[in-house]
Amino acid sequence: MKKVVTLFFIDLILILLQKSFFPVFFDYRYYIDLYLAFTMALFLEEKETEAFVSALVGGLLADVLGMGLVGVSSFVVTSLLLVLRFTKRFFYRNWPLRVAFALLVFYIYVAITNVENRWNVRHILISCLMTLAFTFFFRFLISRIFNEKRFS
Amino acid sequence: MKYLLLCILFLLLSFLKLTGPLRMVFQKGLNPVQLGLRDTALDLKDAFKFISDLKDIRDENIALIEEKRKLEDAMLNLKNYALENEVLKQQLGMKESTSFDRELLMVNVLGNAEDLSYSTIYIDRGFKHGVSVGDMVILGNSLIGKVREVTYEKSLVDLITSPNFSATVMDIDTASKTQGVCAGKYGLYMEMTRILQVDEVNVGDTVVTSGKDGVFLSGFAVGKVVSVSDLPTEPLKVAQIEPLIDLKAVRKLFVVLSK
Repeated sequence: MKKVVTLFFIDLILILLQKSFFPVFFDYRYYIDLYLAFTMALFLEEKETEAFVSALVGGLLADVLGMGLVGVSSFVVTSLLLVLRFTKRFFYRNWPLRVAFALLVFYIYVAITNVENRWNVRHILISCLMTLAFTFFFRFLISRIFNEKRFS
Repeated sequence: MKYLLLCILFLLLSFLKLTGPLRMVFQKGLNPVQLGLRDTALDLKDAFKFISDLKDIRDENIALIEEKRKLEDAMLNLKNYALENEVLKQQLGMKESTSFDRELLMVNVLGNAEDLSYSTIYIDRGFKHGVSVGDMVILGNSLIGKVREVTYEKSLVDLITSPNFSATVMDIDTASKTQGVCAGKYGLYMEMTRILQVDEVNVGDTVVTSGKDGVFLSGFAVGKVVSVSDLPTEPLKVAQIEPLIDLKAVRKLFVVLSK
C-alpha cells in the first residue's frame, strides 16, 4: 500500500509538471511525457510491479485531468508494458535497438493519445526524444536511490 | 494481467459515465495547482526573455517614449472630438446605444499541453459556473475562441487559430468594409477567404467579426492582415491573418455567457 501511495504522489507531481509547467517553455509545441518516462525507467530498472502500478495510477490521473475517457492512458501504457515484457529478450539485446524500441513505444503512445496532432511527425518525434532523455535521467536517479538504500 | 483488467474496468465505468464525480473531485482540487504552475512557468519564461532581450528592450523603450508622445497628441485630439460629439448628440437628441449587454465570466487559462498545435486551451470554469458549449471567449475587444466542451469544473476552448474555428468577418479599415470568412490554420494563424477580386484588403488592416454567422457577436477584433494572396487568375482572394493577442501568454479571459 505504501508503494502505491508513494507512486501515486510521484505520478501526480510528474503529471502536473508535464501538463502545466514544462509545455510553457516549449510554447506548447513539444510535450515531455514525464509519467511515461518514469514508468519506462521503472521497467528498465527491473521494477516491473512498480512500473505497472505507475502505469495504472499515472494513466488514471492523466485522464482525469483531461476531457477524454478515463482509463485510456492506463490501458495503452499497461498494454505497451505487457508487450515489452514479452519482447524483453530482444529489447535488452543492444543499445541502439533499445533506444529505437523505446522511441517506437513513445510514438505509438503519443499517436494514440494525441489524436489532433497524430501526423505532426516532427513535433511528436522531438517530444519522443525528450521523453526518452528523461527516461534515462529517471533511470539514473532510480538506480542511484536504490543503490544508496542497499548500502545504507 | 490484473492491471490491464483494472484499466478495462475503469474504461467501462467511463463509458457508463460513472467517473464524473472522480473527475470533478480531482479537477476541483488540482485546478488551482495547475494554474499556479502555469503562472510560475510564464513568469520564469518572461524573466529569462527579459534578461536575454535587454538590449532590444532598451531600443524598444526609446521607440515607445516617442510613440507615447505621439499618442498623447492623438488623445488630446480625441478628447476634443469626444466633446464635439457630445455636443452634437445633445443637439440631435440621440440616445446612447449599447450592442453588448451579455454577462461576462472571468476565467483562468490552464493551457493544453497535449495539443501540440496549441489550437485548444482548457479554462478553469465549467457548467457549474454557467459556461455552455458555443459560448464566445474574449479578452477586451478581441475574440479568443469558442467553448467546445464543458465539464463540471473545466471547459475546452477552440482558439481562433484552431482548424475547428470559423467566423464571418469584415475588414474595418477599408471603405467598402470587405466581408469574408475567417478560419483557423494549424493553430498558428487564420485565413480570410471568400473575398472577391474587386474587394479591397490591405496588409495591416484590422479584421473584426461581422456577426452575420449568428454565432459570434459583431465588432470583436479577430486579427491583423499580414499578407494577401492576390492572383489575377484566381476568382477569389485569400488573406492571412495573425491574432492581435499572443494566445500562448494569456492568463485570464472572459466567457460571454449565453442568456
